[in-house]
Amino acid sequence: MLTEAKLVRQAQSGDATAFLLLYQRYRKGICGFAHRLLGSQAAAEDVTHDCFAAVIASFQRFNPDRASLKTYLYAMARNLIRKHLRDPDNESSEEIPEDLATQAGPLDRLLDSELCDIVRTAIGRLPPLQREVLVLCEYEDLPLAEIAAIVDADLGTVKARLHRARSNLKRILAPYLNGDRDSQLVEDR
Amino acid sequence: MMEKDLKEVLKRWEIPDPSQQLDERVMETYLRRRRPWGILNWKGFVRVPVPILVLLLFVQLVSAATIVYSHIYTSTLPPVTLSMPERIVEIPVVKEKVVVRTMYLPVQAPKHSSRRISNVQANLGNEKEPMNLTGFQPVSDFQIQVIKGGNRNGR
Repeated sequence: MLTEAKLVRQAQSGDATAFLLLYQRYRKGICGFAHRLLGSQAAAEDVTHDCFAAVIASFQRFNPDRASLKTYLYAMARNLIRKHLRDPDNESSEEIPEDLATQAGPLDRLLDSELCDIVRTAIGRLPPLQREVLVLCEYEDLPLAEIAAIVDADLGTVKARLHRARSNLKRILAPYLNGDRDSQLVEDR
Repeated sequence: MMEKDLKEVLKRWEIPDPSQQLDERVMETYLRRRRPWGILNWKGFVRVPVPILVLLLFVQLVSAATIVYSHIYTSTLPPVTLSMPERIVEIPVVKEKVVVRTMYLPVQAPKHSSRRISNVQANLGNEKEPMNLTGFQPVSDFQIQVIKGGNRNGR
């Protein structure tokens, strides 16, 4: 079994297969992280491409014995996402429907779809620092120490942000998720 | 709401997988920028003033033209072979000439001419009067007489 450090060294030497293995290992996570923060698949793919391109450009300087490629990639993606969000020229993210009762279809699919939109809306309403910590913890399953390294913050700060993000989400999602989700959605209609 | 419920609800938000176009773009970027085997990437720059650059280009152009011209010229000309008839030449060598010179040293005068010697000594002692050799003439022929050495009275 090839270790990550060995794969990185092979990719640094020009081995395309090693790089492809590394890329396939992290592409979904990086793209998902970007998508959940930007709200757009197209923007997420652009950021993912730019992230890997930046890593390729500085690949020779990366030492796999000193840092994890995973942390390096997520930190790079985070910087690119923040840059993307600051840039007013970028396309606005996908429309997050404010009126959740406008979609049609079979009831179950509609309810699932609406619940997905509700979660997306709720996460989108979180402050950016809380949102990124929540996404990294809940969707990417990263340990808190690694999240702290990615967002360049103390472990305590990360814990505080995560706690506040969960509290906000509970408050936002409370009307829909108190056991009678379906009735709440029907009432909204 | 419990933490478990929140996690379950959050998992409802699913996102699509990255497209194949993204994979192709990333791999294309990697293949374009990867370092070829065994080749080191050295980058650097040197600021050169325009006149010097023009001069360098001119020198390079002239030297290149010279090399090309000489290459063409030497390739078109047939190879020159020197074919001269053999000839034996005698070179005179100057031989060294040995010259022998005999030198005669003055011998002690005999005792019977003591008066002449005393005369000479008187002359040498009294340098006021130089020796007069007027009318001296060497003899036309002379005869060598070998006299046995020893006491003259014992003869």
